Amino acid sequence: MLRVGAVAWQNPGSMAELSLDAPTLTRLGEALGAAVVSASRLAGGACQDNFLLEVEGGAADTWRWVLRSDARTSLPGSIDRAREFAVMKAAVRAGVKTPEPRALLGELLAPRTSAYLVPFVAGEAIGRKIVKGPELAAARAGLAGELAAELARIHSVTPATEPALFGDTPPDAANAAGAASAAHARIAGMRGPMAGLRRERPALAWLVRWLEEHAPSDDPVSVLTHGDFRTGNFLVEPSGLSAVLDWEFAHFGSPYEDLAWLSVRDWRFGQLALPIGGFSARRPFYDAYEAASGRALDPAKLHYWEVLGNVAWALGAACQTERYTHGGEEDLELLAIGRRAAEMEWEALRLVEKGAL
Amino acid sequence: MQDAPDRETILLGLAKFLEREIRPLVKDPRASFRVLVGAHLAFTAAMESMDEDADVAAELERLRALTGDSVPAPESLRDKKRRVAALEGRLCEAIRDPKTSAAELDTMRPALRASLLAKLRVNNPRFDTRADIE
Repeated sequence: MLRVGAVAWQNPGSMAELSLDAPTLTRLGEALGAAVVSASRLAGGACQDNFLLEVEGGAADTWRWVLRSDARTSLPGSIDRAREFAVMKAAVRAGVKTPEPRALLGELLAPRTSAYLVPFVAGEAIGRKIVKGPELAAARAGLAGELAAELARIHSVTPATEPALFGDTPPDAANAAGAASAAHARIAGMRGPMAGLRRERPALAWLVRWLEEHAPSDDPVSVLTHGDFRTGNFLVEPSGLSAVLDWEFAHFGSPYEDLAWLSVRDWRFGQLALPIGGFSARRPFYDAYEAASGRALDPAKLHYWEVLGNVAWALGAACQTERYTHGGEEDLELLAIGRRAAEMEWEALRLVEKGAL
Repeated sequence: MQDAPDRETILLGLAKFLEREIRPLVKDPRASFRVLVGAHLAFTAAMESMDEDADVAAELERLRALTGDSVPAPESLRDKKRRVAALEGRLCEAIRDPKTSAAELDTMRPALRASLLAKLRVNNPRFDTRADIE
């Protein structure tokens, strides 16, 4: 990786080169009021390209920043960086522990893309280290309570408090699309990717039918949901939670979506006996959320949304392989993840048969 | 094609080579992880190959029973695989059909579970399939 002046990186899958040239670094420095002295690419996702910047001098209040830019590709349901910038601003206003974004920049790395800067926050994001690392043992003891409080703050943002958060999309998008509830809206969003699978999956089709027929009707689109609230998408230090990250799937939906996603089996990172993210039993987390949010949780809805979460992830895994076989992205990991879809299908079916949490 | 060493031996050899000989040489964590992914895929292909005839035949029988398919099962492995894919499509149509009752859907569950179990035995033999997980 090059430093100072230009950063180059080869995506091993697409072989597409990304670079931060001198004019880009100058523009970033102007936005921060400081000189950018180094830039290095961070592991990103399918939706964004991330760079770590180090700055010197000027008015910048911290010397390390993260640049997040739209990637060339996105995933179904993801929002772009401009929308993510607005969501993070709203989250900060609600008191959520997430870095406040700065300087929304249009067409920084490529035409028709947006990028923004956030101050770098220290902490561990690797799932297996969060659930097992001895240095984080004390943090794990309080993590369920901290995360429950953060979710309550996120869910305090509503279509009424932030009506323009998703721009032209109506706050009650689910109802606008004819969906009877938040769950129906999520199921409606699965139909396109399901139809795009070149190999039918009977277990997945069966589970989607089960979801349709058991969707709670009294569970409207009512709050801001993070959309990917799980171990791996927040930072933990020995002292506890340091930041909630990765807002690219944020939307207005049901609070149960976030509450259950944290328990989806894959996000327990092997700690199956600790259903809250692989670090806690259920009750302390649910009690803390009820106390912080003022909402009484319905166990049936938690069960339903955990089934839905596993189904959504099974579909996502199956779609990843389509990116390799028919999308021109020759990344070995996309092949491997497709073979994991059966794990999530199994888990969803197990939960259906179990009947309650 | 029939020769020694057979396909499973070659694939297992490739998996071991990647994991035991190449991975320790790769210092970059991300590249090291990708070598491990490659080894896992080679291992998966070997596992699939070992019992492929019996697994495909069992899957075909499950699907024929679920879809009421009365056409005799084909002889060759390739044709059996094609029939499996076709019957998967037919079964999915039935599952999506609003006329398929809840009771009919429920009778499909054991076969779907058996199919997933067969996949997991190949894709991830260490996957915990106990029913009483929290």
